[in-house]
Amino acid sequence: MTRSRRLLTAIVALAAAVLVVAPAALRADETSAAWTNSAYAVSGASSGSWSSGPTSSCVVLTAAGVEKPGATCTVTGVTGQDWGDGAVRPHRRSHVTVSYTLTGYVWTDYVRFTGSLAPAVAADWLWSTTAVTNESGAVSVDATARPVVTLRSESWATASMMVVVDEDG
Amino acid sequence: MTTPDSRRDLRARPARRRGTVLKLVLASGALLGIGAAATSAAWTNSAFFTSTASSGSVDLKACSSANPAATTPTWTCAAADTSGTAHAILSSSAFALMVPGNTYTTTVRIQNDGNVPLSVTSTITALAQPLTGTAPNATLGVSPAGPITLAAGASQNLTVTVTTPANWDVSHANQTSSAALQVAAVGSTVP
Repeated sequence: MTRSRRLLTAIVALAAAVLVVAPAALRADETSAAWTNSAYAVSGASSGSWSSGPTSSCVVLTAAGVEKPGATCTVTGVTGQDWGDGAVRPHRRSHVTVSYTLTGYVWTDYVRFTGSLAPAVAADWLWSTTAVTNESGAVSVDATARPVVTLRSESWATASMMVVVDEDG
Repeated sequence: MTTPDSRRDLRARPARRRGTVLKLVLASGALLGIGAAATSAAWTNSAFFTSTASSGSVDLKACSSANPAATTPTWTCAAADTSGTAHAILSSSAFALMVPGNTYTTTVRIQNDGNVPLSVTSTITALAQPLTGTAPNATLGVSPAGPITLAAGASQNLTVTVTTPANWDVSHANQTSSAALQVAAVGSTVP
């Protein structure tokens, strides 16, 4: 190929490249020139009360109210049962049963349970207005730190204690 | 021995070369001219139209309702173009008194008040307690996050979800903020 022919070929290639690349560059400009507009919305939020609470525990107490050496109490469950009345938050009610096993006790001893009742009810339970009452006179209730409660029962009652949890008191 | 004809040939050679170069330059000029013609329409024939011209408007608005779950909610909209002028979600009570292990939702709306379609992408960000702080934190979501195409004048409801973990740290309890989360929707003109 002569020098002049090579020059001609190069010029033709350059011209072709300009024709191909230029429109593509124009198209790139078109896609990158979008207009934007934003809209922001903000919301407040708050959280209720809950406590990590102590691990559920129970002890056997003597009639004098002191822990009985050698006796054991082991919590086996804290479960709730809805009354099935279709009530919704904050008007729900649940029967909560605290179950445990005992060793080394006599009929005059007592059992004291301390723990949270929260695992037994719905996660969005409204504890600030909740009342916790006993199902029988054999159980005394301290619910001032609800959902953490302290329950005391005569050991001979059963191997469990039942309370009623009313969301609207 | 050189004949008069061959001497004439020798004298003509440089001139022929110059002619070749000239032809090349002209040819490349013609090529460039053709290239230019391809974009500038050298062969002309005209047809004229008249038309009104207007520019598009791009205007995405944030809307909320005091009762978004109603059958026909009443929406209040605002330009809310920046984070600092964010539209307050009226049903923020949806995120009140949150406790561990629960899911809370509300609905907001975005509205294309411009006259061109927009491609909209939405995101959600936690700004303050009880949604920020010690892990594990609540999980936030907005759906549809997009990108979605919103025609001029159209609107789209977005579901905003807050999911609190069952083991939500107790440091999040009893916290209140008037600006705890933010939804940002960005609309771009569709190419």
